[in-house]
Amino acid sequence: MSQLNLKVRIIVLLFFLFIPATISPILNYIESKNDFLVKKRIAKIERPNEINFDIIRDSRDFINYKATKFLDSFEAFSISVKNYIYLFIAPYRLNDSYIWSHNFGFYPIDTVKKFFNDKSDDSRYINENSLVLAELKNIETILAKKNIKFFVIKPPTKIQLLPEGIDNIFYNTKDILKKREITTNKENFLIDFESISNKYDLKDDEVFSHLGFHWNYYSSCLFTNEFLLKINLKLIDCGDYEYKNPQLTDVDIFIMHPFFGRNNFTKKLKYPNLSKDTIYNLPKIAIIGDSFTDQIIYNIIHSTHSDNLERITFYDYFDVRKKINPDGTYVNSPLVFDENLLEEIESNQVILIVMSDPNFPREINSNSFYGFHSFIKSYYAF
Amino acid sequence: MLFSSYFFLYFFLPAFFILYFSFREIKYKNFFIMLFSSVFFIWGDPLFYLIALCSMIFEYFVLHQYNKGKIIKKKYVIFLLIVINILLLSYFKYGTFLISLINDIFNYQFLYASSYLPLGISFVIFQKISFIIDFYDKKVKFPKKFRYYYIYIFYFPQVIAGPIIRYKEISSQFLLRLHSTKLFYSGLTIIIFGLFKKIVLADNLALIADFVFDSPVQLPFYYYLIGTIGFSLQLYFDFSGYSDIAIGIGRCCGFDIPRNFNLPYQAKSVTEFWRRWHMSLTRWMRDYLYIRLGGNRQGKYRTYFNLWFVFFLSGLWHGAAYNFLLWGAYHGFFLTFEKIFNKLIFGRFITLVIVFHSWVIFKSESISEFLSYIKNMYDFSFHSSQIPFFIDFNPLRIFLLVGCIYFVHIRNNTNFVNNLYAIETIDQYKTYKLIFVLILSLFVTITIFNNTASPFLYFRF
Repeated sequence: MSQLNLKVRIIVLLFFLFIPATISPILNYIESKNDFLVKKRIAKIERPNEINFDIIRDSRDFINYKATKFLDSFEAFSISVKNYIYLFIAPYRLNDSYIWSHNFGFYPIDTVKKFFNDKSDDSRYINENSLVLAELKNIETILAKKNIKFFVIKPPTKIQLLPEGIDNIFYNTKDILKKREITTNKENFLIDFESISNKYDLKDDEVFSHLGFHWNYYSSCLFTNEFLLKINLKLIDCGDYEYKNPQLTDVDIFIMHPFFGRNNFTKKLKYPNLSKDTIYNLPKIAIIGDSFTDQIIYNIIHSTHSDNLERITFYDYFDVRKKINPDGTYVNSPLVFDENLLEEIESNQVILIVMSDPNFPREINSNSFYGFHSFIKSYYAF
Repeated sequence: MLFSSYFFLYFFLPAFFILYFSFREIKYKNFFIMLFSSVFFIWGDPLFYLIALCSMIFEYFVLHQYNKGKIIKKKYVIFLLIVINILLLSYFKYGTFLISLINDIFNYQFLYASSYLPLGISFVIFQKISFIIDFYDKKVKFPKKFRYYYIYIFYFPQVIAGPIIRYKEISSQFLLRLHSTKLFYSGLTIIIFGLFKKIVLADNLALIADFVFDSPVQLPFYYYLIGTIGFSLQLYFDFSGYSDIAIGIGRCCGFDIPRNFNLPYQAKSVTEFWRRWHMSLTRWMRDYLYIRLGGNRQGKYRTYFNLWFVFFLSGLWHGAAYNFLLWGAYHGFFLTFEKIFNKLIFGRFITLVIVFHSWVIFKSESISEFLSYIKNMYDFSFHSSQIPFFIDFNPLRIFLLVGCIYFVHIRNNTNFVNNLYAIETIDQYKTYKLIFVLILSLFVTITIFNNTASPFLYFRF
């Protein structure tokens, strides 16, 4: 019996504990020495130090946290293994959120769905677009009466510019490519890819990072420049750039999906050399936008003196107010939708809305333009 | 604590096995089962653990007195104990539903605050009732030690989602059970197989089903067919996967826990389906409801009614909602139909169609949602989805769905499955089988770390 017990304990140790318990520390070491990316998926949970009614729940959460933390590296290792397997057997569906193209990198599935939906019916798309632009025009008119300039930046999505990247037996984009040129109404307040690409000779495959789905720093610089031009400020020299390995937001999706070795996937990108002395006399600006706004703010932060940064307020999804510190960090505060907020918004000289294609509404409702539309409409009839 | 969670798989279970196999004597082994079962239950639902423990101690005390002959009105005491258990179940599980039913009927607004459903309440209560009735019928002896009864009620592998064990099946094993390396390997194989079913198959098929069932817009009709197949397979792999893990852990510790599934989607009739699906519940319903109602001894019409009624109640057991009642009535109807036309057998495919449709009722949140789903499935409208099929559905998952249908419905897997569970074939363990299990376990491990573990569907019941 004792020999049996020993045997079974050895099996248990080997089977259940060997892989995570022995490989985890090794992977921790490799991680510290190598370009082995790990996504920390769990928020830190403190040890419960009060005995109260919730002690069991709190202790349970803490123990779960410690267990998961212990297996963190093994988790990253497993995700990497799975990604590698999928990369070779099914890149066309790397996981539920992304398609991987060898030429152009990650494509988010939700943008692909929106793209196919839009392209399936051109006339409907044009009609929807016209209605949305008309509503934006109304907002512009209202704000103009308050001497506020209003602009909209519409960053494109990778699938819009590079649909050929996902073309395979499962997703036929050839028919789509035949009719990809859709001419929609143009408004002066709208800064979109068509206006930028013609003006700055920006190519389709220069807009995005291979390892992320946001636009890269070079193309966002050109969009920022166009915005600065419209508010009569000195332009950033986006033409002064150097090629570097992808970094910061350009690797955001790659970091979320750990792969072994970034170098295998690297495609150098243009990074503009920004100078702090470029932008003077920055007006008071409210920027309402999504994650594509990060690069625009990055460009402005690195092109103006730190003292000017207090003149910018970023309203993240028109949900959280983000004031920019001189060192570029944010101070967050939630929005309260009342007259004080209206007053605060109206104190700006410029309002910029950044809406990437998935956030660009197809119909007008209370959530359109992150809710900014209904907020303005609750005070002004149009 | 989910069986597919990191903590259970890499800390709780290994710690249990190591401590369990650190002692030779069975009483210490039983002590660790009690200890880990308590931790497992307290971890998941401390409040219900207290309630279940108190009611169990009370029952044990009363039955102990009964066993000593100190109770005169035995029938009433047994009746009282059963009523207490049914009241517990009704209060927690059916309170909200009963009040809403009364409100609907009398057009009144009684208030009922509790929406708390204790973990594994149905399984705990059913096992307790099973013991009380069997004890009254003298089919089981009173447990010599309190710990035997405690383990029977709270044994952690099967406490949350079954199988529902009868005391007489397991009572002798509290005192004497076989432990061997081969048995342990066999148990481990079943655990891995169960995890594979749950994590690799069920969780992936769930994404197909959820996409269709949760879609806010109307989809082409064939999407609804795929959703139905996806959910039917998900439910099978999810539930049978859980049962396998329970059986596997039991076997590692020398317990012989009965199988709960036997290739149900290969059944040739609805009657046969219920002999293969959730076998422990079917058996419970037969022994403690159908037979108690008179079974087939009181004329054919009463038999038909009993049969239908038992399945109607089985629907209620699955959940306190109209759709579950309809689901029970639906199955009861087909079982009665088969009983009336004794020689009629639907055949494999028709049975599969009948059963798969019943899962649509099961999955729907309400009767209107079920009707709307069925309408969409049979309007044969393409509603031309603008999005390519393989953008909506991951191609690998569609291959998985087709593969699963082949394995559970078309291919004859009887030998493979019987060999997996049978204790007699343990000696035939070969190296290639071990390698197969290791590959499967690697697959499971990688998938566990890539997925956010979702709870087992039967945790709800």
